[in-house]
Amino acid sequence: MENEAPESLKFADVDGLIKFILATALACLPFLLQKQMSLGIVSAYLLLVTLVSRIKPRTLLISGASYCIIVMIPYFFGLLMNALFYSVSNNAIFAYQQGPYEIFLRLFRLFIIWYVSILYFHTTPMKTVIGLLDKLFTPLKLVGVPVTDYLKVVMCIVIELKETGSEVTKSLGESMRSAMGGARRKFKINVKGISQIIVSLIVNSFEKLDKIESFVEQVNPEDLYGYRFKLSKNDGFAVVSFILLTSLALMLEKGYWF
Amino acid sequence: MNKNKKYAVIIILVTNAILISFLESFIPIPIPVPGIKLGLGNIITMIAIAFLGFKDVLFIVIVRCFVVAVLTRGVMMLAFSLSGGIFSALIMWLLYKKCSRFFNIKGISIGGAIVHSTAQIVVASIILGQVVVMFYLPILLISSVVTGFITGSIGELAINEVRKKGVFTNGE
Repeated sequence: MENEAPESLKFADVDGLIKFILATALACLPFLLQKQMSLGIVSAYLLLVTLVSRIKPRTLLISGASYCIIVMIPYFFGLLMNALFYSVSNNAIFAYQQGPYEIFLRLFRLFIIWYVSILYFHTTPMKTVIGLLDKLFTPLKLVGVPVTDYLKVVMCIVIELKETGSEVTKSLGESMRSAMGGARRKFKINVKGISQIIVSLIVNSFEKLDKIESFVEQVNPEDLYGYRFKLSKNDGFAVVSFILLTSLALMLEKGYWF
Repeated sequence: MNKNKKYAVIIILVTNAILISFLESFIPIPIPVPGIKLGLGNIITMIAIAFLGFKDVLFIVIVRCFVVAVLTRGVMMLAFSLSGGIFSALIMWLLYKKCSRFFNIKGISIGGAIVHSTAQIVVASIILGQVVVMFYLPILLISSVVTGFITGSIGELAINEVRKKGVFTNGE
C-alpha cells in the first residue's frame, strides 16, 4: 500500500501541482484525437513516462486487471448479448450503431484516464496529494467545512495502515487459513470463524482508541501533509515533453504530416 | 462523544474495513463471476450503521473509497466505489432504522449488495455512454444475493459480538 516515491526515483520528481495539471491535460488529450497514429504516439509517451517513473509492473498489472473486470468484461458481455438478441429477434431496439473503431476509441480514452490516474497516484507522495487537496478545498474551508480535520483523518488512516497493515494482514491470513481449513475447495464457508476473526480485529484495534484520539488531538496538519510549489529542471522537461507531444499529436490530426 | 474521539473511532473502522477486504482472497465465492467480490469491508459499514449516526456512516464510506482509490485503484474506480458505497449505505441505513421489523441483518445486507451492484452498473453505463452494460446487471444481481447473504451472516454475528463486548459503549 506504499505509494511514496522512493529515493531512487528522485530524478523523475515533478512538482505535485504541475504533475496534476499535466496528468489532467494528458487524460483529456485523447478526447481531441481520432487518428490511430496520434493515439499511438500518446501510448508511446505514456510508456516512456512509465519507464521513467519506474512503476512496478505488478502494480500496473493489478490495476489493469481491475480495469478489465470492472469496465471491459461488462461492456463486451453487453455487446455480445446485444448482438445475440438482435440476431435472434431482429428487433431494431437491439441494433447497435457503433463500429469497432468507435468502440475501441471509447475504451482507449477511458483506459488513458485510468492509466494516467494510476501513474499520478503511484508517483506522488500521499502527503503531497493531501496537501494539494487542502489547497484546492480552501473555498470550502471559508464556508465552515472542516476540511483540515477530514484530511487529517485520511492521513491518520494512511499512517495506521502503514504501521499495522503488513503485521495485521499476516496474522489475519494465518487465522483465516486455520478458520477455513480445507473448505476453500469445498465452497463451504466458516461464517462463525470469520466473524470471530473480524470481531477480534475490531476489539483489539479499539484498545488503541485513546492513543489514536490523543494523536489526532495533538498532531498538527502541517506535520501530516503539506504542499509547497517548487520548480525544478524536471518540471521544465515534463512541460516541454508534454507540449511536444500535444503539438505532434495535433499536427497529425490536422493532417500536416502523413 | 467528542470530536476527536469520533475521528479516532472512524480511523479505526476505516482501517479495519480496508484490512478486512484482504480476507476476501481466502473465501471462495459460490458463483465466481468477474467483477463480483464478497465485499467484506461492508461489514464495517453495517457495524457503523448499527452503532453510529448516518453522517458518520457516510463519512466512513467516503473516506474508505477515497483511501483505497488513491492507494491502489486510481481515480476512475473512485466513481464506481463511491456510487456503490454511498447508495448501499443509504439503503442499508433506511432498512435498519425504518424497516428492521421486516428485515434482519442478512436481508439488509442483501438489499445493500443489490443497490451497490445496480449503482455501479448505472455509473458504468454513464461513463461508457452505453446502455448495453445493463445486460450484465442480472448476473450481478444474482451474485449480489449470494454475496450479500454471506456478508450479512458474518455481519450479523459480528454486530452481536461487538454489542456484547460493549466496544462502542466503552468508547463513549
